[in-house]
Amino acid sequence: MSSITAAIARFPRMSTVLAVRNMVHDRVRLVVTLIGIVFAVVLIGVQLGLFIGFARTTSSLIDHAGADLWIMAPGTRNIDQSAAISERKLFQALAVPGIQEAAKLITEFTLFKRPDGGNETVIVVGFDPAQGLGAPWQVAEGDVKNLAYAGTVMIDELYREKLGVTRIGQIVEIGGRRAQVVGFTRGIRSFTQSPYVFASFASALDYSRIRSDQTKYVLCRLVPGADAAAMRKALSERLGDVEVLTSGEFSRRTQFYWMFTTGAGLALLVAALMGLAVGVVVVSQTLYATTIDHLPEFGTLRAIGASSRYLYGVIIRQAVLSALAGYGIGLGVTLAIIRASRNGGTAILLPGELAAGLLALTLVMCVGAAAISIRKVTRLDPAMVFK
Amino acid sequence: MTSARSSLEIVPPGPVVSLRGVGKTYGAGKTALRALAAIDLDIAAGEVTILMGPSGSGKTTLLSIIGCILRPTAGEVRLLGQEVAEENEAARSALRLAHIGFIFQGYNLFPTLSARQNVELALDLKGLGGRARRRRADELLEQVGLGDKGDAYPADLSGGQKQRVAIARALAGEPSLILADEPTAALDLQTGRRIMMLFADLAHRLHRGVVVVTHDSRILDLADRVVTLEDGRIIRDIALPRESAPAAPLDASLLRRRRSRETDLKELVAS
Repeated sequence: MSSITAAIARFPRMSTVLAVRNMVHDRVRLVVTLIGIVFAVVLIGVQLGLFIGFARTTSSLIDHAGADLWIMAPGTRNIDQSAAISERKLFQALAVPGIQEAAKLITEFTLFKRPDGGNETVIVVGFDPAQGLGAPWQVAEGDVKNLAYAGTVMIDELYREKLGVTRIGQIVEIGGRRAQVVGFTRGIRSFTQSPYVFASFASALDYSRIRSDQTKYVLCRLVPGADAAAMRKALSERLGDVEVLTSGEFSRRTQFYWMFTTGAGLALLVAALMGLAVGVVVVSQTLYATTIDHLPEFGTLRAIGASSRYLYGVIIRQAVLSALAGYGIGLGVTLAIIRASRNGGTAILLPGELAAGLLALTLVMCVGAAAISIRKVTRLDPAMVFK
Repeated sequence: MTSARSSLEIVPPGPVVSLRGVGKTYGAGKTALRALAAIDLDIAAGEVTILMGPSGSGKTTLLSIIGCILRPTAGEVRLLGQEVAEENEAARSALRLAHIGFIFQGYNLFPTLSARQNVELALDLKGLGGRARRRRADELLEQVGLGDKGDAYPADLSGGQKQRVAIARALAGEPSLILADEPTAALDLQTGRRIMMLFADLAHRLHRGVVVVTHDSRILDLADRVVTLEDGRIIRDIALPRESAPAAPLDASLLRRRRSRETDLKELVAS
């Protein structure tokens, strides 16, 4: 097998050799082509990376809460903004067979007073430290257990500067109440740009306007093997005036709300489409110009008996080779941008599926852009060789 | 020599190309332009046929029809006995690849490929790959006297060397018929004659049919036959017997006018 591979590498198809030579023959045009593809790859990669990053940020509390089912006020559209429900729902839920554990959770916008006197809006996340459902994850400093003490909070490192918090033990003011910072998380961003402040449920009640007999959510964990859909139905019927969603459903609903009803996601997708359009235009123009430059050679090929398929093969190989080179460079630039933005307030994510999708998109973009050139070659009159 | 043997076996008896009543008119109505009319012509294997005539006489159109590049608007064209005039472009393309080698006035080499790669490209079209393709390309370059120029690019070759590369490329498909359009136009006399001698060698030794369109009367003595066109019609068709004739005539029908070679040449040059 390796000897076959070596032979292919040593004696490639001449259509591939011709495609490569046509590509590198005009260095300036090659650079322009690659810039166009790289620009498109980076723009699409970063915009879609932002889209995925934003989408995952909007639902990160849900995705990391550890709950199977969420009970909430009817019509709740996202985790950050919801009406309160009675805490009795917690006890009613616990009475339903199949529920292993349940806990209250609140998320509430409130004011955070900076040490310099300024105010910032934050979202207080109140959870039950005894059960851990909805607890902070990715703890960089401190211990989540310390949140069991009244008047303690954890914030994310990303928002230290924004909130003026420099160290563990610092006293801050949230919702007009004193609180002590007992730890920092790493990389828990908030889509709304109002940082999440984690506290025990009891402490969070102090920082918000929610009554002590109310909660925003009841998080349920099911016994192993329980059918989430069936339990969702059972809880809805038993609890009445609430909505019950699986974790996945609530996550998607929250993502959809922030990404599409606010227009944020649409803007990112439009920007990604713009990148695609720019890529198609640049690649089709440069590829067409290269084809026109080499038209006499294509005419010669046609005259000496090359099939249309062979001619397309040369052009498509050029497009694919350009795509691979441009994608490689573009991916490198995108990863560098992602690395540079790692400590910023915006998450850009490039999961493997997106990287693979981007490669496929780049190939489609470049091969699609070759269509005009293929059309030109298709109509080539072999008699041109005698003119 | 192996190639010569195999070619002799492949080319069937009778003319390689046969044209009967062939006409070609460009356009229609008042703007119609008649390029060829009532052409009857047989091209035999083993001889060099020169097509001559003033500009606009229809030489290139005739060459294009013989080469299955253009379709005639009238008449019948048979390539190795097969009627090709009505074939579609894909079929004619396949016929060109299988049976015809082309040589052009401007060489039409690929400037980004080396001499060897130019020949390899034609072999690639025939489906030959890998080490065999490279070996065959080197053999063909060796045949045209360019065994040491395989790695050279067209820009580094003289006009005569470029034309030899083009000939090697034309031979890649082991064609029955080689068509050359003004192959010596860009060459000096000596180089042009050497190229023509190469054509003669290909025709006689490898038993190919060779058709050369030219204005160059200085190379007529290297032809076996000279066909002169004027206003789209054949006005003269002279067979020039070789100094040392082959054991058997290539095609008796071609030797219509047996005169002395010197007399024929003088008449042709004067015309």
